[in-house]
Amino acid sequence: MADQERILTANIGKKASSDIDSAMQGGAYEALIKALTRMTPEQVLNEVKTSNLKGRGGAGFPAGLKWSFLPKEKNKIKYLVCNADESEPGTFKDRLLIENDPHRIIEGIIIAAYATNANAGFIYIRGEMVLGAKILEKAISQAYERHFLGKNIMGSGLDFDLYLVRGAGAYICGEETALMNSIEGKRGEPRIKPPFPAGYGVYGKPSNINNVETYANIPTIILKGGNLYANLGSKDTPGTRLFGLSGHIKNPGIYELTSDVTLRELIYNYGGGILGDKKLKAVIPGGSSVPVLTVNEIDVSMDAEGLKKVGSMPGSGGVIVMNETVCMVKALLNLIKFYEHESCGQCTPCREGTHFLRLIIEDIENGNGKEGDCEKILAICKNIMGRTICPLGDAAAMPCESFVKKFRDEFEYHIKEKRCLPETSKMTTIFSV
Amino acid sequence: MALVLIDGKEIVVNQNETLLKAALRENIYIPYYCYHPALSIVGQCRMCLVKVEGAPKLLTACTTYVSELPKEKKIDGKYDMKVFTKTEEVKEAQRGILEFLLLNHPLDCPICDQAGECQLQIYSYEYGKPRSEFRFEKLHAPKRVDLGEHIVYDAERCIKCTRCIRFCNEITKTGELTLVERGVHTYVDVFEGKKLNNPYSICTVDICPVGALTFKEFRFKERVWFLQATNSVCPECSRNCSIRVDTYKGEIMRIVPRFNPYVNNHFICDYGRLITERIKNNELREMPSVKEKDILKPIIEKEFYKMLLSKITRKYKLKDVLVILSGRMTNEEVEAYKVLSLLLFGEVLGESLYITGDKDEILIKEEKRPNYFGEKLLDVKFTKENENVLSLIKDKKLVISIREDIFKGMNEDQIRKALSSLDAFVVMDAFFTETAKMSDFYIPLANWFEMEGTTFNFDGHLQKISKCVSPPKGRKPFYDVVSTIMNILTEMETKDFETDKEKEIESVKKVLESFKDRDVMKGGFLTWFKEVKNAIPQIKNVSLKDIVPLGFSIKGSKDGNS
Amino acid sequence: MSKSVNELLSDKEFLRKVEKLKKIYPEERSSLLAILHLCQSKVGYIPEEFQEFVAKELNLSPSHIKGVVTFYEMFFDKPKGRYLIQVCRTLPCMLAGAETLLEHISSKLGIQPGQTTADGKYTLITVECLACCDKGPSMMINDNLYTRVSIEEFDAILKELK
Repeated sequence: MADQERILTANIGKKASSDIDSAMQGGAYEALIKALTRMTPEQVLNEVKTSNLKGRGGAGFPAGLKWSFLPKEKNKIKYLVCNADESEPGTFKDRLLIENDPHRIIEGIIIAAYATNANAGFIYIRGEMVLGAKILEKAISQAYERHFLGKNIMGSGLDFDLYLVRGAGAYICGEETALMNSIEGKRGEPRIKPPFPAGYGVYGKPSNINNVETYANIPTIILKGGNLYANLGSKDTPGTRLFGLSGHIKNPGIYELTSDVTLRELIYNYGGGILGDKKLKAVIPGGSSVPVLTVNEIDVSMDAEGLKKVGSMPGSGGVIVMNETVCMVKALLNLIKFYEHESCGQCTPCREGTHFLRLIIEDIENGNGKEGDCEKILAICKNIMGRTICPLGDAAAMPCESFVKKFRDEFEYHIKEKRCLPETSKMTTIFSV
Repeated sequence: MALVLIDGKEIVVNQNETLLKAALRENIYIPYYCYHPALSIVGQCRMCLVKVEGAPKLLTACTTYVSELPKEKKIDGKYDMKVFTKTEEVKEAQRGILEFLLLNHPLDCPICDQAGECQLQIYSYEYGKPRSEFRFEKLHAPKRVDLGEHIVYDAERCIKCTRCIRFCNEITKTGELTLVERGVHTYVDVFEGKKLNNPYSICTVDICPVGALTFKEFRFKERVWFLQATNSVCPECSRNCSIRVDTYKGEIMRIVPRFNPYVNNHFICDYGRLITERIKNNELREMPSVKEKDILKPIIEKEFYKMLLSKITRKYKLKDVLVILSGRMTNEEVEAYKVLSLLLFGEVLGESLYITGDKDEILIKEEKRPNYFGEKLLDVKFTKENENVLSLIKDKKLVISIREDIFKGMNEDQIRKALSSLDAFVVMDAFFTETAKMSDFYIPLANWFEMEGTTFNFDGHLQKISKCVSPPKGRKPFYDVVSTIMNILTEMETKDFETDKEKEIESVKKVLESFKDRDVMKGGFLTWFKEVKNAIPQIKNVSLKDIVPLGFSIKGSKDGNS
Repeated sequence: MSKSVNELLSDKEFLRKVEKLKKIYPEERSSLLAILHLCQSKVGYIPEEFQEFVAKELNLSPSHIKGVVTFYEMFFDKPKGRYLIQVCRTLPCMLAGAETLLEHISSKLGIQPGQTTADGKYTLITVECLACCDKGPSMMINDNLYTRVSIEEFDAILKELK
């Protein structure tokens, strides 16, 4: 893809692209002007539908279709929400966009507002992104100054306000309904669905929520057309994605590529191969909540169809690479502690199940594993998946299930020998190379 | 209106009704914790998971509504939904949820009040796994937390169903409770200094499925399987909330609300519930007593009534007599009083004290006497609101007070001064109150829990009170006192009366004759209930079956919300 | 740096800021998190008196505020050290060497994660993924993010903290 024109990262690295003048020199708000002056809202919506843009937050739902769920009546209050709560382990792409090209995001949201006739939007940014919040606040006020936000935007008749809400440290607030509860000043506890946000969202009004990267794709789709976008790269996940490489990789970072790139290419051609020149052992292809893959499962494309072949999903595009020095039990323990910590506590299976899983995995890691523990872990996962209010339960169970299934021998070794595999006694870190 | 096939049975599910509500209505039991018919739906406990044909995952019955399918899409040609509640998958889910709930649940059963009526125990037995596979130390959390004046909370037992929190937010709208922390460390707490002290706080204990919330007045009192339950009605205001009285060996252990959609729905107020504590502190007498040298001496019943009746029967001019009735008298007692009044005075005298107090928008009514509406229907006159009794008894010679502590809280000298001009002061009450101590003749009556009777609430809803505990022989309902009086009067001769106004005595005997045919001489609740039905046309054809357990409504003043 | 909560509640400038925040969003309650962040930044934690104040301002029950403060990781209801050292513990940073960093910080300051130094200067905690996984091990000290933190780098940062 090396010669491909960059879409999302087009302005990144250029001088002060968070400043509106620099951004506009790079083409910011051209798509908005085109939409407002030369297209109807229906045309804009159709373009996004045609593009077959899939949500970039992790669920991969078609964005245009989601937008069309909002009621069409003009006199109904509707809200747009931008999910900037990036907290999925292994994911760091939204930070890049927020800190370096905020106007691309804002422009995407305003275009969405035009297409859906929304009254106001909320960008919900995780509390820890202090710099990102400052940058966004400044960018939003600059957009107001240039009449890209506010009343009668550029004389089009569109009234649209954009608010910034800072979170306060909760991964669960990345779940769409928990995010809405957080915006309403409540504990970030997910709501039961149905009703879905398009019917009952922020303040009970119909709302549409999309990830930062999803909105960031909109300006390009409007400028270049939905058709071009739909034919770019993978069929089921067209366009480019910001893949994040982390872990035991020589060149960690963000790589903007089309989704037809294979995982092998991503790791070895772009990522430069394994840190410490060791062998690859395992890789999580889309943020910690998707099933892990073994070294034999990386010759698949990074889209839904490809990863489905090996029992995983594109998720958030956060690729976590683990080499042969990684103890899989220790790695899983790290992850299950994350989910136990982040569970909101509302529903029984997730609240108690993540705790139960952590205790067993911790026992195995500490040499206190008992025979039958692997079966027990799988049984608990079965009792969590599909039984919870929100997907956090599934997100906790999927790594546990896949780690135990695919690295069963290592887990059994731990239980029997009460220690890690010898080759995992000294893990590669950035300090050891 | 949708047609659902659930476990092979056809049921109709209304538009705004969830699957769980409809199933329970049709006696198909699906286990649940967080659902409560009076509270909002949260779908948190996940206990009510069921299999719905066509859905990829199990669904919670409490959040599932059914919409009608177009004709061509109906399942098997006629159903809008097909539900299975007893498949292996559902049973496995139930076992899983119970295993999760028991993970950190303490082994408190031997010391927990809820044992015997605990939903965790019951479901574990019915739907759970026989063995625990949890080998770790259970998480510890605050126990025996003083959450309010009456409430103790145990965070370890809590299953986080949030019923108590929703109750305080939605019913009492006082918002004292919240979840704190996150994940497996979540528990229920109050803000420092703002404890759970609303007038309905103990209802949270009723709705708590486990022993996480208990109330201090019942804690460790008795095991629930020893308790005997009797349905009755609360006597502390004119709402007449339906209650269930749990007794053990003749002692009332606790009162809990009884569901009545016409009166109080699912709840009762703390004040009514804690009548159990107030009556404990009251002095009781078992025998009627006469004042001799400033002390009330107990006397054998027959002697007592001969003394009383010879002193007061037809002896006083009507203007010198004051009879104070009470809304605490049941309908039967009011009818019986009318007969007594005819015998003693030749006319129906008497006013009922109109006592009012605070009210609220939920259950508490301002009229503080339970059967005040019944008295109205039976044509009883009322005093002014919260009338000062001392002004009423001025210049009277004979005062009779029935079921009211008319001198409560008053200055003793003031009372003695007012009584000094009286010839006779007769008090009939369940408790040996301050007023009773001032009387010349005291008759102990059975209290509301010791007798049968019927009462009308403010809205014209007729309910029956039942005998929850047996009173000692001497304490009778007022209607039985009247029956006793009638029987004694038939035996008395003119010489038993102080003066021999034969004409007066003849008219008394005539009244007795007229009532003999109506069988009221024999007394007892059922005979007097017949009198009540004769007196109130709206309930003429009502039988006891009709008013048990939810009561019977006649058109009443709709000034309150049920 | 830290004000007392009484000072804060009588500071007109602060009260003006709170009024302004309340008016930003379509509904006042949406300003709750922002107001709590403001208190956290000025006082170092969110005392009960402040929780009661916010409850009145936004017409919510005090228990609701308590529920919110105890839910979110970034809010503290008890005082903590002047510098809050937050080390990311999640998988990608662990793979980069977070445990080594954490061990070093622990031994250097003489405290375990969750504890505060005796002089009240540093509180050490672990946090979950900070979304800069390609540059691990990462940490934040108060509002500042530090990435690729080696042991030497940490010592240098520590020297700069007053």
